[in-house]
Amino acid sequence: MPIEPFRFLHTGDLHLDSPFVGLTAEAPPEVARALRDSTLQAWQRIVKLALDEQVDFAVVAGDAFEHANRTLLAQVRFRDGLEALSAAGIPSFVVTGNHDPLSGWEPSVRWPEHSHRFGADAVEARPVIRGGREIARVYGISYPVRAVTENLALRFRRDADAPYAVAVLHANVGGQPGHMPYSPCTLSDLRASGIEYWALGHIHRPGVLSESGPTVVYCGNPQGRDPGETEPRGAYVVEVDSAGAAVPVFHATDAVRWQLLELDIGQVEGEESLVDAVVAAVEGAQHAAARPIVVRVTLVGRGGLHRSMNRGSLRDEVRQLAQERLPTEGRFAWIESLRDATRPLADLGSAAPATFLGELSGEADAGREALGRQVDTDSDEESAAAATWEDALEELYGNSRVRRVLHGRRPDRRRLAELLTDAERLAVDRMVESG
Amino acid sequence: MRIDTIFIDGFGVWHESRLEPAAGLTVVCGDNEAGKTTLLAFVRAVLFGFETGQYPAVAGGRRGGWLEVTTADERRYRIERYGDRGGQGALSVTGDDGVDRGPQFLSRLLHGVEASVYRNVFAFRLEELSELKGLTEGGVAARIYGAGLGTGAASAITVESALKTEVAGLFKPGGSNPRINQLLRQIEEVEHQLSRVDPPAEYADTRSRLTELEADRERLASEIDSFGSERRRLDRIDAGWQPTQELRAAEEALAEEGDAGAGLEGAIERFTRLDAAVRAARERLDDATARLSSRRKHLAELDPDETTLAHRSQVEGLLEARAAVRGEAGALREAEQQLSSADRQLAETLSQLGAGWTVERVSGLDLSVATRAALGGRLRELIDGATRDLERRELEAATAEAAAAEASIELRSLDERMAGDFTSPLPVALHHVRRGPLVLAAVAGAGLLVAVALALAGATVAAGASAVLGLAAAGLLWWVSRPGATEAGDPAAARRAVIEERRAMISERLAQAARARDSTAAALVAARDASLAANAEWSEWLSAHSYDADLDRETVLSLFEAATAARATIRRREEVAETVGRLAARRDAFLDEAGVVLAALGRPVAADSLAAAVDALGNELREAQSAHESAERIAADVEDLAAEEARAAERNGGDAEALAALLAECGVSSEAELRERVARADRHRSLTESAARARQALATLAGHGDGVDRLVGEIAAVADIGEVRDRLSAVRADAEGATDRRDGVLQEIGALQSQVEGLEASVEASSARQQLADLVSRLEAEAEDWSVRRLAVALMERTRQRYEREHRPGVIRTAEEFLSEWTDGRWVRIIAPLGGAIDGLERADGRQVAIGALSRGTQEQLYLALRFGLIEHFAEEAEPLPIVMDETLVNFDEARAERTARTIERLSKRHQILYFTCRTSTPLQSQTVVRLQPPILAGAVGADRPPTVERVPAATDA
Repeated sequence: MPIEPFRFLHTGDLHLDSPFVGLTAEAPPEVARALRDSTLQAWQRIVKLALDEQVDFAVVAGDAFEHANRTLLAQVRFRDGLEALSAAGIPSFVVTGNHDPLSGWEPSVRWPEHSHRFGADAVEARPVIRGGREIARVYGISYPVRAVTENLALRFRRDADAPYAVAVLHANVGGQPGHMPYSPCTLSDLRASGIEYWALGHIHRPGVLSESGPTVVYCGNPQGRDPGETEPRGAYVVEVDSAGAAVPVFHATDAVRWQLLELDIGQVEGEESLVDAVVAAVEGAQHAAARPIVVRVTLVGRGGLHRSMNRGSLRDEVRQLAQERLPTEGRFAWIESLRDATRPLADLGSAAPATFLGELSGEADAGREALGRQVDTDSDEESAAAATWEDALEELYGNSRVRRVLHGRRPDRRRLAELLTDAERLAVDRMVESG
Repeated sequence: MRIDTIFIDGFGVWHESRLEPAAGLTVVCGDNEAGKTTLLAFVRAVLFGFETGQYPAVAGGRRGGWLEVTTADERRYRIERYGDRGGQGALSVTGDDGVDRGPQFLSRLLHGVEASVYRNVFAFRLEELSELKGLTEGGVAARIYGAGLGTGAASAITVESALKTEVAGLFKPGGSNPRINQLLRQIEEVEHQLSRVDPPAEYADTRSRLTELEADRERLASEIDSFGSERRRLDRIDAGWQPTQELRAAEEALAEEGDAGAGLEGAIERFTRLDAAVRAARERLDDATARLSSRRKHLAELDPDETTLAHRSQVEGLLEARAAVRGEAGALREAEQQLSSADRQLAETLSQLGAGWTVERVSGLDLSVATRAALGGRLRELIDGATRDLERRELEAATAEAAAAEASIELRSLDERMAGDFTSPLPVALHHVRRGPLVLAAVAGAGLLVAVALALAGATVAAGASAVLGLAAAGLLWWVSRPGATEAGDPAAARRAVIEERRAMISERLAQAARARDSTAAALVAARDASLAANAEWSEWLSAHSYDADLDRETVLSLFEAATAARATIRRREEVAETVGRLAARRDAFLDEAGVVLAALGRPVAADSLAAAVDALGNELREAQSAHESAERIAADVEDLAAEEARAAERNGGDAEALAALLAECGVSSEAELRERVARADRHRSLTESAARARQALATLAGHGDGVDRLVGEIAAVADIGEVRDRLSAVRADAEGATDRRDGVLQEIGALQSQVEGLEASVEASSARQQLADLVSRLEAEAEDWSVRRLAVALMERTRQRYEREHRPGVIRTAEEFLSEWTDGRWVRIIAPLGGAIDGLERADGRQVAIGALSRGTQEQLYLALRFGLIEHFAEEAEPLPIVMDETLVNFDEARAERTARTIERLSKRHQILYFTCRTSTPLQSQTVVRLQPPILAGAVGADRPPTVERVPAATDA
């Protein structure tokens, strides 16, 4: 039976008022303000997108807030956005996620008239009425607490009389790595529900898991907030035609974009040229992004500049000189840091195994090998070898104050192996320098 | 490099001393204080510089001296250094060519060996041999370990130490200055700030207070409503109390009054109205009667002059004429004066024209424009032209006459001259005669031609004649004066010829003048005739226009102007005369009419009094008219008043009848009775109205319908209105209090709402979170930096331990070989951490002994072995340097000393060695032995004689 075509907005993972991760303390005021307000800005853009596109309704798939205890500013801004939609006659449907479960504190801010936040007890269904007729039915359920390990998708069942069913849920479909396995489910679970469109949140990288039968979409977060979130971020405007076919169209809404650039020093001659190369690389990235960017530049490759990199202030100087040539207002390009992963023209250690440097290289290789093995296959001896390196960091990461702040961010073995490589390079450089 | 000569200019006890060591081993013997140590210090000083305050040249000479050295390639150089103070002093390095190659060259000669290395390894005293630190100084240690690191002279320990320092600079448990510690402190501070502002504690408090106040506001609103209801109820009772009392009283009185009777409504008003009408009619009747009587009396008193009134129209006509004549009297007098003036002016004008001029003659003159134009135009030209022509002809005639007379005189004069000068003027005459006919013919022809031309051109005959004469004279002159006309050669004849020619010319001129005179005379006659004709015509014109015949044109023109003015005067006078006539006629007519009318009225008067009589008659007429009109008006009034009197009498009767009918209608017989009945009815009506007003007032309070009855019932239940009013005051006070409290609550709510809005807009928490995120990012970065350095330290430690275990440095191994040899295999291994201090020795059985536990001899053997190891290592890289040792073997036991001596001897094959000893016998076997004689001490400050150097045969030689 044909349905009335309609259009809706799918967003989520707003993480409103969450800080911008990175070294931003030295950023000029305008950049700092833009970074601080980036999630709020992105939310405003989403609201504008919904108004411009004249959607029939909007869904927010969890994690509207960064903290379970919503910040006042975030709550007010979120309310303001929903109110703007409500004033335009656009109803909105919100579920909470692991970051903003219903158990958290929230300031007593008045909820807009045409906005509905789903409860956590059961899946609710809310009709979307247009011109006196129901055009779609939105289903949803919120997280009562942070860690929801139940497969909530199994609770969804489409009503037979619903013209079109949209489910809003914060969930990890297919156990996607890098994200907590909250409300774990599979595509089969979703398919079994009979729902036509699954508006999902939780995974920050936007993407369409299934184009039809049902359409399953992660909207992603509308604003990348750390160096791991570099791609365009935004929201989907979904067109549903009379046959019930949904076409989600992605719209970038990020106010600032993270960019990770690698710059090979192989072709760079001298420090001044390095500044030029950094500026050119950043400008190219900004042109591609067409918006303000925050850039982390990592120098890689082998070259004569490698030795200069060990001079403590050089990278800061290069970064500062390059930054002076880049805009810091309007569509700015802020170099968050300039990192060194360069190598000397030739590795000294590997060339002479009988020398001290050769021994040092061998020791580092052994360490990396021990750290690279899977934990469950470690022999006692190998475990001890790996533990040697892990213990080396105990002084810092075992410290209670540090542990509290950097909780969960102690380098794992893989990272430890990378750090060991950096340590090896540092030691060799120092030995060569002092020689 | 080896030292060939040591020359000391002045250094300690040494002065101008020379020592020439052997290329290999030289044993320098000398007693204590013989200057061995000073000699060693001198070698060091020349190679590396002086030590401050050490070894002044107490024996004389300049502090310093030189060394002559030979390099491996057999080049010789002198290294010379002088200086009084510490430091480099004055250094020169000269070759055989005498060129100073400077300090850098010395460094090259020493192959970069630093002072410390040389002092500790190549030139050491006995006490220095046992100093451990000498071998741990950077340069020496680097020499020991660097050889095995594959990176030159790097010290893993130094790098490791530096990294450890950096690690500690980043983080120290319990520390406060390292960067990570600082960041942790900052993070905790921001977290504390966040806990304060996120969420803002005051926000929750404010919201809570706001909620309470909103509840208060609702409660107070309800209270105020309740008070309002009660107040309104009590207000109604209070306001309704008085109307209720009045209603009750009125209703009671009405009940008592009973039926007041019907039909009396308006009876009193009607009675009063009728009664008043009767009274008024009576008053009007009386008044009309009185006024009628008065008017009638007045009418009888009036007696108008009927005779005058009968001639009213004539009298009024006279009065009008009288007014007109009086008005024109002034104009008549003025016109008469103007007429008199005009007459005078006319007479004067006529007298100016001259005798015989009258009004009629002036009037008959032709003063037309055409006449005036003829005077100015044609007549003027006629007279003036004739006059001018006559004058010109007279002038021409006089001129021609004068010319003829002049020519005649001149001719006579010339004839007289010729008569005096020449006998005969004949030739001239002959000549003249001979040509005469031709000349005359030519002149006549020319004159004819000119005459024709002029005639054609229209010139006058006289002009043509003059031209003909001129041309003839000119031709004659040309003929007479032409060249060849006189005879040449005779001056007298020539002169006569000239004179004759001149005479002929004058004669001709005379003839011309005569002709001209005749001609002008004829023209003059014609001109005079023309002038006479013109004057005749003028005279004729004057006669025709009534002017005297002898008048000239200017006079006529003056007369013309004067006659024109006279004619205007005549016209004006005629106009004035006409006005005077007209006014006089009108006055006369009035007087005639006045005489007739007065006569008709029987009042004949003299003619000169007619005007006054007319005026008096006019007054009488007006009085008669006034009396007549008053009589007519009074008569009309009398009629009106009589009618009014009749009407008043009639209305009076009608009103009296109506009054009687009213009393009958009310069933009373008198006015008093009627009034009593009416008063009772009025009281009843008043009570009824009072009750209605009270009910209306109650309806205003309680609404229409049964609201009034309920209110009345409610008020009826009130025993004491005072209590109600007290209660009302209390309720009002309560309501005001509640309203005040509500206003306060509303005010506080407004303030709190503003506060909430402000808090909602605050970005303080966001800024703090961003700051926290930044600090954590920096902490992560620093932690990563720390991790890399800490792992680098661990890596260095592990590598060093392994290296120490598996890769013995070459220096150590060589030293171990020496030590093992010297101790006869007792000590086999030196415990030497990479780059660190020597820890101890290991015996062949594996037992390790710390340095401190070793005997002094063994310690010295260990250190000597390390030095020899270094020297051997150094020699592998560069040219060997001279070695200077001072009593090195003194603490060795005999066997070890012997074995060590062999090593030294073997070493001297590659290295130049100076071995200082105070003993006459050493285990060393040397080809060269030098004995030093101690200096002779002359005083505390120096030596009187420096030590002497004596080369002695070697022991082997002996």
